[in-house]
Parts: sequence; C-alpha cells; structure tokens
Amino acid sequence: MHRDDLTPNPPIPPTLGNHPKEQPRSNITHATHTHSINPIMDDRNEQLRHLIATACTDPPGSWQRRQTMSQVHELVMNSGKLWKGYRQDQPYYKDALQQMWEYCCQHPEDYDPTLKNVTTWLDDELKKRLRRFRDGNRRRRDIPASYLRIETEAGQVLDPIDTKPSPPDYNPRFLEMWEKTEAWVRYDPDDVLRRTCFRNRPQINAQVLLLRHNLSPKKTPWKIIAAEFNLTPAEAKDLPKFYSRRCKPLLEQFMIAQGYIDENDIRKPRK
Amino acid sequence: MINSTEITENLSIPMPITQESLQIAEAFAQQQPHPQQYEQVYLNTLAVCAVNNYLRILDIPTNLNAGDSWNPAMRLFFDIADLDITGIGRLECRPLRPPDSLTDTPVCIIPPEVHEDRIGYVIVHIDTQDQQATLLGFTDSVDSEELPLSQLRSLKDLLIHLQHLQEAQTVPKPVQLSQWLDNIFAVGWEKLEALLELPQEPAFSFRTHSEHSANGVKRGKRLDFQKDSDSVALCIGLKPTHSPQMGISVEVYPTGGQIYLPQELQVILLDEEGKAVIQTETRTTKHIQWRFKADPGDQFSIKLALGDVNITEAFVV
Repeated sequence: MHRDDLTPNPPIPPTLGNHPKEQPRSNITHATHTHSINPIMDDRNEQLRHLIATACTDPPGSWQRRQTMSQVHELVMNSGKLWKGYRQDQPYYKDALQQMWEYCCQHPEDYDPTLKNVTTWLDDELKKRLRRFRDGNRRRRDIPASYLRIETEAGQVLDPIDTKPSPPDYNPRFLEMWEKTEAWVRYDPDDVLRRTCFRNRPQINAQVLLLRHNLSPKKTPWKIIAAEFNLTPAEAKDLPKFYSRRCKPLLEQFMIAQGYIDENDIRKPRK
Repeated sequence: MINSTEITENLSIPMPITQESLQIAEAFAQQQPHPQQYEQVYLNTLAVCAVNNYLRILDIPTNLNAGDSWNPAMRLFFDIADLDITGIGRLECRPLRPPDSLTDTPVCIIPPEVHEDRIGYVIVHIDTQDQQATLLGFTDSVDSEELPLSQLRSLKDLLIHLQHLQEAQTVPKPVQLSQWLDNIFAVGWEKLEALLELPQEPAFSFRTHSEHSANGVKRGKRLDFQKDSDSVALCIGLKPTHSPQMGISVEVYPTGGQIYLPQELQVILLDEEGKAVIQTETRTTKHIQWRFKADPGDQFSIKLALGDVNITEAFVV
C-alpha cells in the first residue's frame, strides 16, 4: 500500500540562524505548526523550495533556469520519494512521470509555497496525470493494452500503431536492402572496394572491412579486427580512421545510388 | 580503480523508460533482418529516447527525425545512436550493455563511425527489467573505441557544454544605425544621461554626451561581464556629414560611478569580414574613443572581451 509522502503541514520557514532541527517548541504559537518528524526531509524541502524560487527568478528559457530545474529533478529522482502509483497504474506510470516532469520543470511559477511542499506539488501533478491515463483507459476498455494510446503533455496523441511494423518478425523491405548491399560488397563489381587498401596491404581492404564491420549482424569491434590482422598498436589505432574516411563513404555512396538514403542524410564531419 | 556504482552515485540521473520509448525501440529493432542486430538497435533506441526525454524536461529542443538513429537504412548498417539538438549539433547516446559494467575497468564501446561529427557522448545504463535508463555521465569527445567510465563528467557539465556551443553559434542581429536618425532604437540602446553616472569632474563636459549634438545621435548600451563592477557602457554616435558617408564614434565608458574601465578589457573593432581594424586593451584607462567614417550599408562589429566572457555587438550603417 502506498502512502503519500509523509510531510507535516507547511512548516514555518526557519528564521536566519535558526536551524530547522532545533526549532524550539515554546516559541511556536502558529496553529498549523507541528513538530517535524523528519528533519532530513525538512532540509530537503527547504532546498527544493529555494531551488524553485530561484528558478522563478531565472529568465524563462535561459540556461540558468535549466540548470536550476535539473537540480530539482536530480534531487527528487535520486531521493526515490515520489508517489509510486497504484498497481494498476504501472503500465503508464513512467509516461505519466515524464509528463509531470515536463510540466513542472517548465512551470516553476505554478508552485505555491504557501499551499504545499515541493514534493507534494510534484506528487499531485503526477497523480493528476495518472488519473488521466486511468480514465482514458476506462473509455477504451476494448482495446488491448499493447495498443495503448499515449498522449503527450501538449495534448498530441501518439498512435503506437503508426510505429508498429506490420508482421512482427519479418520485414521484407529491410531484408532486401540488406541482401542487395551485401551482394554488392561481396561481388564488388567495379573492384572499388578491393582496391581501397589500408597502408598498401591488399588483404586489408574496404571489402573485407565492410563485410566484417557493417555487414556482419554483430558488428565486429575494431580491436578484434585489428588483432585478426596482427596489426601493431599504431596501425590498430589508424585502422578505424581509414575505415571512417575511405570505406564508410563508399558504402554511403552505394546507399544513395540505390535510394536507401538521401544525399542530405550524410553530413560532412565537423571538427 | 573506480567501480560503476561509485560513478552512478555521484553523477547519474535515473530516467524512466516510457511505453512510448519501448514501442519505438521495438518497432525499430524488428526491422532488423538478423536477431543479433535486434538487441543493438533496441538498446540504442532506448538510450536516445532516454536522453531525449531528459532534454525535453529541461525544454531543450531536439529533432529526433534528424538523427541517423531515426533513419531505417542507416540503422541497418551502422551502429549509431545520435540525437540532434536543434541549433547545436548531434549528441551520441550510447547504451552501456550490462556485461560491460561488470569488468574491472568499466568501459563503454563507442564505434568509430561516431567519433566525428558529434558534440558529445552520453552513456546510458539500460535496465530492461526495472524499465529504467540511468544517464551515467557525459564526455565531449572520444578518441578510442573504449571509453572508460571514469572519464565521464556530470550531466550538469553537459548543460554547460551545450550552452557554450549555442552561444558560440549565436550570430547577433546587427543594429540598424540608420534607424537611429529616425529615432528608432532597439532594446538596450539608451540615452547616455540615463546610462552613465557621470563622475564629479568639472572639466567633464556634459554637452559632448548629449544625445543630439548639432545633427547627430548617440546612444549607449550596458554590457555586463562576470563581476558587477566590470560593467561598461558601449556608446555609438552617428553623425551625418556633407558627403554620403556617416561619421561614427565608438566610446566605451565605465558604469556605476567607476572612474576607470576594468583592467585588461579588450575592445576590438572588426570589419565586415570579421577582421580586426582597431584593437586596444585597457590598463588604467578612463575611457576609449574611436572615430571613423563609413558608407551607408557598411557593416562593422565591436567585440569586448574580459576574462572568459566575449560580447560582440554588430552594426550596419
């Protein structure tokens, strides 16, 4: 059974020099004050309040504000104190959590320190979104869970059907792309790949490297390829560079010629 | 020897793996003709989604479709996990495979095809059981296939890195000086009386600082550096002459009642091509003043540098 974050009613903000752990009860006449159960949590609450207040003074959209809110996010996420949801919420819990953070980090001014603690605010926003998912699911009871529609914070609905391929374990279009490309590398009709060699060593050429690295289902790491060719450490360091600069472009050119990718998909390396 | 738990405690940020990410990762993975590629594409996609979700929380715009990782043909042949950060560049989001993290010196494999054309690398530990993606840290460059996790910096450093990259790319819109003659001024360009707290020196002539001398106009903008006391006022004066050319004056004054400009402040006048025309560095300097003539349509910029901070103001006559 999950319970709400155990926070007392908003504690009186500590006055200067008055550490929250040592609040003397005799001075307290405020009706809503209760003796703090967890001084560590008070510290964290104070820290979070301070951060949110800072974020509100940071210019909106500024890197300063992003840094401040990223601290809030990190503190809360690493504390593990957020509402964990009911069991039925679990399928969409993480999506609701993502939506909550997107909203709260971008609207720190919506937090009212006189009403609740920061963690409570975050929990409440999270619960709101969990409710939305729950209500949405009730309306679509007949649709299997795998077709859950995800609504982003902005209200845009992502239909997972669009991202699902038609038959789950076989996609002919990509198999064909693969086989055609593999055939081109193996046959190397214009001899281009075989003639592109590493340091005048004919056995280490673009054909061999593309087959080992790009056209093998488990792309062989360069460390292993270098060992297979008995390369010296210096040569082993240069081999991947040779691949990137001489071999990879050949593959990319083939892919462009076949229409698998567009010229614009290839970006010139920036240094 | 740094083990991976030490690293995760100091730097890491847990990100939930959303249904949305799982569905996309599954869809991409299923396109692969061979089962061995399935896992690689699946994890790469989850890593990109996790970093993308983190950036979305902080309102840092990204463009998923612009990445090679979102291009089905590229995914088929290349081991890539890039995420395009709008206006800044591509960030590589590498998943840490569970076996890698258990070795003595934990490393993350970064294939050479992604060693170039990347603004940085974020390493993500994917836990498919708990549905959690932990952002372990960031580095701005790699030079070998194996990246030791001990070299990772915090995500906070990633934000600073992105900020620097973005600011370096921002080209300031030039101030249209001709509009000043029509009394149109962009934000920040104020009358000098408002901007400068003139020191009590009897020899200081107020008239030289009035906005409208005979037939010209002068305005100033306050520029801030790291310390409040280092703020200066950059003042530009425009004076039509008999010829089609304009007389331009550039002055730099201290603000806040200070008598001297901050020391080691560099002020450079650059021409249209960005070449330095006049350059000066302050010692114990009260103010800087340059005058020159320019044709309407000419462009110039003034760069001020103090310590780590560079400010450039661009103008078109």
